[in-house]
Amino acid sequence: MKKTIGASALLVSLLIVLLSVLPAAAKSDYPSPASDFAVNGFSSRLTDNSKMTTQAQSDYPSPTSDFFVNDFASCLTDDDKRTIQSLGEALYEQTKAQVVVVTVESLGGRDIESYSIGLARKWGIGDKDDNSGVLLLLSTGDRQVRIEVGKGLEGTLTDGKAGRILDSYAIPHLKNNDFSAGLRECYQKLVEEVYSEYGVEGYTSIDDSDIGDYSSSGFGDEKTDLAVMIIITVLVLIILFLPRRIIRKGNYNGGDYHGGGFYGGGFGGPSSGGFSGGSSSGGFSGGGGGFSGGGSSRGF
Amino acid sequence: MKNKKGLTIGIIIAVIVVVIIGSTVGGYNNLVKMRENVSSAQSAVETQLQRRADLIPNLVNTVKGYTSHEEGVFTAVADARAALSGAKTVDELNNAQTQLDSAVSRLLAIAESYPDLKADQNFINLQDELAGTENRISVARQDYNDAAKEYNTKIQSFPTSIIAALFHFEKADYFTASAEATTVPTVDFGK
Repeated sequence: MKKTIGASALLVSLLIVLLSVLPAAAKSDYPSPASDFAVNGFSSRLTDNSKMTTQAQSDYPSPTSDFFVNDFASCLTDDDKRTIQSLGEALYEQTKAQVVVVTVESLGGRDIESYSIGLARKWGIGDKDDNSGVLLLLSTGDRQVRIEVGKGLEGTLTDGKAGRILDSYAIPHLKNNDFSAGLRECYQKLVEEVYSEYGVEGYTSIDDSDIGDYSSSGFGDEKTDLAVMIIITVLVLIILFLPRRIIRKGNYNGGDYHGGGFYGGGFGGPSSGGFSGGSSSGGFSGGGGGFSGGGSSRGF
Repeated sequence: MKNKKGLTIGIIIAVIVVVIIGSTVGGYNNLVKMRENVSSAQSAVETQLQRRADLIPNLVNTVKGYTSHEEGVFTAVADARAALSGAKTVDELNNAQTQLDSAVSRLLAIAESYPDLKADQNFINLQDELAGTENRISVARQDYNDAAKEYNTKIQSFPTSIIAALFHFEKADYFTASAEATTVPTVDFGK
């Protein structure tokens, strides 16, 4: 009697320990950075350490609740702010991509490249899965401007193209100290580029005759892709449903047909859900997009 | 009575053993993951270095279109690229990168004396691509150093250091900025 109680006590305690230890060990298999912290039950050192390595994070301002416009240098007109904000929100709703404007008075002695990537990473601009963030950063004091492009958009907004956008839309205005117009036009062009990456049609903000399209991928391809996908899906659906009826009529009991494997989610893509930052709560925030240093900078 | 005491001791020992095994497994997996982070950060650096090396011939061709009598620089770039592809050791590789750096900065400096070239859209485009790649290289190096630092700290701090020593986790090296990279290259305009 006593033996069985003791044995069951042993088993239970073993179970408890196993349950408490194993998930922690198993969790470390996940690649997401958040799991780093989960594993840290064993030592809290890593957390301190990672704070240290992502250096000087506290140097950056926090995003405003508008998120798409952050005019810390107070150099934008109210009209332009509203234009940018509504363009940014519309783009976000349709594509989950985030294009963000930040103006600062000073970079605090750092070069614009390192300030910009630090800020973009800290705010997590862009969608986490698509890495679809763009940061348009202006320092009025240093007279420098930069477009920082998220990893997922580097194909469309190549470094060369970012440079041309700055040259064509921002620099002429910035040189005359018209920061507001320069950033607005630049922003409109950036939004347009992101729309075209997602194949959203019918959006043209400004005449872009003076900027050549060096990227090889075009609208046409995406259109035909979509058409082909729709045709294939329809065909597959027909094939999937047709035999079933025939099979049923023929009293066939053997095979189990799993027609459910197909849902149209594949190309619902950008429009489907994901709007968690919600305008209803009155604010937007970063989606956790990644940056690797792509983009272009200009002094003026 | 005696039996019960034995059982309690048995339970305690069993619990300790399980905790030790569990934390060893957890710590080991964690170290493996961090080491993978370091090596993936390293390959990110290499990818960008390769990208830069691939951009340079385009740049050379564009510059050639405007300047025919700057053979010295073109040869220097070609030599550096040859050295880069032939490099086997890390030292050779670093030397070749440095050589390429200085050849390219000479190439870009040439553009200053050719206004037509400077205004060429293709040239500006390539220059932006090159600058972007340089920036990505430095970001990738910084990311590598961050990953390496996290990993190195982990393998040296207790108690993970025991696991690290047991399974031969070795320290990762840091990228150090070369003297060339921190100083502005001087350009010989006489050529």
